[in-house]
Amino acid sequence: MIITRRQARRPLTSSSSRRPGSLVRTATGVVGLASVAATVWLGLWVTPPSTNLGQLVRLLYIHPPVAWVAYLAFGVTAAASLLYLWRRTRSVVWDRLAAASGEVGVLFCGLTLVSGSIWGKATWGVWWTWDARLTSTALLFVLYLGYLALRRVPSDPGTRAKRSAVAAILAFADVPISYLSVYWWKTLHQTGTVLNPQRQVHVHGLMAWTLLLGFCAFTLVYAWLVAHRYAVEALAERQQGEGLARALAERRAEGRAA
Amino acid sequence: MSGLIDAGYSVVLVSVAAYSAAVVYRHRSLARSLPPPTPDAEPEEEGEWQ
Amino acid sequence: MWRDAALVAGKDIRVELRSRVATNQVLPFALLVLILFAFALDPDRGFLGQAAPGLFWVAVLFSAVLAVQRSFAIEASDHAREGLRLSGLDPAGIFLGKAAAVAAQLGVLEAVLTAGVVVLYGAHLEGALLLLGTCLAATVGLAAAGTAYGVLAASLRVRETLLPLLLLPVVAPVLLGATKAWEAGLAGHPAQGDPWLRLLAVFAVVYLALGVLAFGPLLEES
Repeated sequence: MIITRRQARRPLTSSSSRRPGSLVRTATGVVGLASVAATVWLGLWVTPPSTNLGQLVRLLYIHPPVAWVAYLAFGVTAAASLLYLWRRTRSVVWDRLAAASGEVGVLFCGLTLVSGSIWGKATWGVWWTWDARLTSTALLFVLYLGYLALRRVPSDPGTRAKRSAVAAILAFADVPISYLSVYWWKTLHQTGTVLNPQRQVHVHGLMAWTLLLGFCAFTLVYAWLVAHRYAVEALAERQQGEGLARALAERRAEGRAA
Repeated sequence: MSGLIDAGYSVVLVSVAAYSAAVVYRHRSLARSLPPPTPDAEPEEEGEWQ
Repeated sequence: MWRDAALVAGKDIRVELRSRVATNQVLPFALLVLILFAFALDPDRGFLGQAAPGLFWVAVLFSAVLAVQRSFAIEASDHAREGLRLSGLDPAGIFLGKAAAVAAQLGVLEAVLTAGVVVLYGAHLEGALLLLGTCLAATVGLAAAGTAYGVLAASLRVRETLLPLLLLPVVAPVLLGATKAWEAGLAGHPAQGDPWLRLLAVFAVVYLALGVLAFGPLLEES
């Protein structure tokens, strides 16, 4: 029903952009929520245990999708920052998108670490190993924590936007270098890397479909969260502006009264 | 073993749910505290499409 | 651009020579870190000698944060930033000059720390060419990334706490690469250090380029 209403409203997009936009957002949220629920149901109860991983294969349906969303979000942040810095496409839209995507990305990156650590405990018996992928994801997490901290420093919106965009580019340039260095660290100087469960699992049939559904479900949830976070960013900027205008008006009124 | 699987699922689901709730709540309260940008355009639309 | 870079680098180095903050505060701090590592890792059990390359580069990293903070603290007083902005110097030149001054200070620091590692930790310096090359590439990379983040954080009230959080994760590959290259050099297998040396060089080039591009907008806006 929601889908049909959204489609029916499409022609209106040009005349009024707010309502159809929020309907698309709601539809994304509902579909995303339903598909996450379906993924959990299929992953925990319907799919069979794997031959070599047993029940542990069930973590496969959420850990890689969550990690994918984290990387996607950081990629979106970097792309939006580039678009902001390029003079021809400079718009506050890209700054807000970078902020929203960066915050959601940090959440999913943290969840990647936690769920990966839980999986590691189950398969390797330890919460943490200095595996290349774990280590580089941890570095990524700290990198973008810094980005969020920088964004939270109060300052003039234009300055903050430009500064944050540069910081996002500086951080993103580090991603391939740090991934390569950590990868070499673990392969050149250590015989026998840690068992990687994903390489051993034969994903097929219902399991593959569940994994695919998981990827779609978390991507939809990501889009929905970013849309809401984006709106919060825009409203907060407006509130700041109006608060300033109101305070100015009040001071002026005081001046006139005095 | 199954305890760890449950823990993995619940950490992910609970955190995403908590973050979503926080963001949506913030969005709602901000939208309520500020007047909508074009308040007069909306009722007409509703009538037209229902 | 190069002339402007030389001017700014000369200015920063003259300021350091006269104020002696680098020699009186940063250098003793780095040596103190070396001594503290000895307390943390029992010297009698031979850990220190094995871990010498890593400890050396951790000390350099921490000192680099201090050097970058110092480099922008001298611009903060008496509105020196505005002077720099209005001077008509090429922003890319200012970036290269400040990075060069930081790199020069780090170079001196590394020389002293090397002596410290030899004396205190009993490290044997072999493969001097690789060690020197590593120092050069890692120092340029640290100075470039540090200066880019330095100007980013310079105008913020929370710069002292924010700069390490922003800078240290970014330079983590430098720590890893330089440590591995030094380990290879000290163990007498210089060939194993070559890929790490290349990685450090790539890092230095990437952050020099990004700094040259980004310094202008950052300087005028903040």
